[in-house]
Amino acid sequence: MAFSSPRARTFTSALVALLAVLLASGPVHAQSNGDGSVYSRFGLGTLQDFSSSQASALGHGAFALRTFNYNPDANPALWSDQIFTRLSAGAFYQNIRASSGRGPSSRLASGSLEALQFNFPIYDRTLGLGLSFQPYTQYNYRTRRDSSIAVEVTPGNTAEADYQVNFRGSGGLYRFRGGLGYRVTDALRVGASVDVIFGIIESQRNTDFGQVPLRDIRLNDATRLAGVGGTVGAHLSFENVLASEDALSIGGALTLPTTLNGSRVLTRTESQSVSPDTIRANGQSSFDGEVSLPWRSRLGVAYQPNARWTFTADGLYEPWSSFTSTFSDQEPFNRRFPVGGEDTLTDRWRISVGTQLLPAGSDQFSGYLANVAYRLGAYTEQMYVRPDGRSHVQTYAATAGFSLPTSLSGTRIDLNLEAGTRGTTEGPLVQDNFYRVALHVNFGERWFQERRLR
Amino acid sequence: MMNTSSRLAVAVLCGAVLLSVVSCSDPASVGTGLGPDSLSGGDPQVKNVVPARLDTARVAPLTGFAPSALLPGSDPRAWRFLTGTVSDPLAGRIEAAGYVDFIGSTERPSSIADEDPDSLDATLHLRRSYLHGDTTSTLEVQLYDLDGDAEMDRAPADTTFATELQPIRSESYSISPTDTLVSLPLPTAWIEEHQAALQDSSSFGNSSFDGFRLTATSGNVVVGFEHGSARLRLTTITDTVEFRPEKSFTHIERGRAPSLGEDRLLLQDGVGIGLTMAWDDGRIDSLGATNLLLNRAEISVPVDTTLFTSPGSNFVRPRPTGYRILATRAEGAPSCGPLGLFALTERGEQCIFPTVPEWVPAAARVVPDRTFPVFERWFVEGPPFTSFRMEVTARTVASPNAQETARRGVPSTVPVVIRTDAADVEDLPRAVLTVTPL
Repeated sequence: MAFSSPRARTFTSALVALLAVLLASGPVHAQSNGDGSVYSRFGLGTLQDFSSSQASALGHGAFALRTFNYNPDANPALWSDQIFTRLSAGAFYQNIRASSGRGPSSRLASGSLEALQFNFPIYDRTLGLGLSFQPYTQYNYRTRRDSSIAVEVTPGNTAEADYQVNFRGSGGLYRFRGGLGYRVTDALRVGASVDVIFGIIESQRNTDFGQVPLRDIRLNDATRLAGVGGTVGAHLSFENVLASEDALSIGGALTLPTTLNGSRVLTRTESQSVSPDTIRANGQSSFDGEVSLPWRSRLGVAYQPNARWTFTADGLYEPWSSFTSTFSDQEPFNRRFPVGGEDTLTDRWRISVGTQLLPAGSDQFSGYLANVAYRLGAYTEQMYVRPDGRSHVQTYAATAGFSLPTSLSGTRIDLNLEAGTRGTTEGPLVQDNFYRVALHVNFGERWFQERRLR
Repeated sequence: MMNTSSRLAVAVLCGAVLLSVVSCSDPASVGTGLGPDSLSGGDPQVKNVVPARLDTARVAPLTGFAPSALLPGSDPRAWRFLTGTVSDPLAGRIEAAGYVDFIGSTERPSSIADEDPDSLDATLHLRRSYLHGDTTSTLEVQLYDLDGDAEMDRAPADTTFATELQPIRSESYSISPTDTLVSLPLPTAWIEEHQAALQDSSSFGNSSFDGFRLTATSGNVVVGFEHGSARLRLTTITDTVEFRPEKSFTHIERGRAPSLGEDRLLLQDGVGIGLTMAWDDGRIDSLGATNLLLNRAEISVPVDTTLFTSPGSNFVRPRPTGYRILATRAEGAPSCGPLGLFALTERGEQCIFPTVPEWVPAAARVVPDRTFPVFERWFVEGPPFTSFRMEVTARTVASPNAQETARRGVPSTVPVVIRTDAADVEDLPRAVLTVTPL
């Protein structure tokens, strides 16, 4: 293979490209990440569970899969395997067609930065440090209701003036994670991280009159939250288990319960150009409270019979039924936080499987296509929200991905695809049919290490 | 195979394309009823708030006019002065006396300057532009010389100016109300009395001529004459000199008005009887206190159009051509400018709302954009005005702009009836507030 371009120039180009991707995602991020599922209105928004682009293509699992080309975020123990200083970034585009089974359906599109990760080894394959910044939840529902009001246009004559009430969620929580992974023995690795979670969750209700000469009204219910938690992980690896040269890994991580403190503010704006007024009640303009996030457990198995094939199976569980919130239902707010109260939350679980084929195996001198990694996965998840308090919302999805090698041995460009369905049209629920396209760039380069003459 | 830079460029391009298509959403109403705290609210409601107090009050309008009072772009021909007496079954007896003075600075040709007074003719030429009353009656008027210079500019309608005791001519002038052009010949004795002023421009300013007063002695009609086209014309066999109007004024009085019942109020232009309204019962304040969000605010004063019909085929009652709404600032309230309103020059504590001309004559309706900031402030900080006043203001422009609807009107005697009690609130004066509950 002709992977012989000057590394320095390539790495500089890669950094510039990464910055361009991040800058391109900036305006999208500022635009509330576009429009997502109406289910994001409940709880703290749609939970984002990005670990690595490889894991995303394998059904959002791969909690036990060791790799030198990625630094999976879900299990800090896997950070111990690093040999490259690695910078990873990715963005996604998602399209949802939502239907209630009655009336027209919505088409909602969103895009956002998926994650920004930076990792480097402190001691090769022994002790590694990981840093990441990524969305923790996304609050980006959008729906509307059309109506009209009688307006007197001439003496004694009225006309129906059309207007729309637009409901929109924006913002969400972000998580900054920093931690270490350490190889205790050849078989055992452990890791721990500190997770800082923060963000603003905003519900907007806009009454828009279009060309009708009535002032538009925007009501904004914003809750700012922040808190610190932690995650611990462990990983066991075994070789020559079922055949020679095979590998079996078992990995798991536990994210500890986290309390987020915050305040809630209601503002109103009576036209687009005017700064919002804070609505006060009982002399107060903001209302403090806290929410408690439950623990999150992940457990996975990865089996690699040879260098070409990889199989993963994973599970995730979070007891969101233990979630509590002290943000009370009081004036001037006309709804609870989170929406519907604690009764609309339930335990979340997910089961996923995935497989990866790398035709070249360990032969790096094969052709380009043989060095592309082909991935397939699937998962089913019970969402942590149940809007009607009774019906569980289930997600079924298939994932796929292509990992393209570059002239840098530690650098790959990944294109991931995902399609699935969420919810049902039975009862009051909504069915989302979605697809998602994500692009990730994973740069790996040896830094801080002297080159040795071989 | 592409080199690394090309692949990265393609990757960046793909990423940019992915992110750029995000704005393609087409939301419908899917999911609005989902969950216990369903997506609801945001629907505006119309609140009609009738004033706590409705009454009439007289504030004499400014019926005097001089070029200095003329706003740029205004047509001086549009101004008028009235004279006559009319007994309107709706409004009662109305008396109007017109005053007009002329400029005498025009150079006189020698044929006039040297002419013997007996050979001079002086005539007052007037063009009628207003009529209120019985068109079959004959209006008898007397002309009086004013006694001294009259400060007519912006004089209110209840002002009187001194005149000579005796009319210029012992017999009155007869005017047919339907005639458009009216000529009132002045007697030779009057010409002789004012010979110096008429024949010598340099002595006009120091002369005893200070204008005329036209007073009706009989008839059942009030007529109005154009200010700008009025002429005092001096002629000989060979030459003519015209004196242009300098200023004019109308004095208007009203007799006892007939009773309209307890559910109606009579407003009268010229006399200056307007409608006073006060929302001082706290109802608007309480709307603001309940965190209602304001979408639109209007003040509407409907007029009882059923009374526009003239009492007879020969009786002409002009229809309203304009209304004006004023408000008296509360103590500590901002001045008119920050509220987007016009300030009333002669009464600084009062602001003027522009009105929507399309609603005339059926209603006085404030331009919503100007009412909105007032009620928006009212919701938050309390009322910026203590009371409002609606008055009839005659317009000569068919579609006045916002600023023109805030100006004073030309003199008229138009009556207007306002209902104070009705089954339908839309027939009553009110604040029309479109609000959205939290």
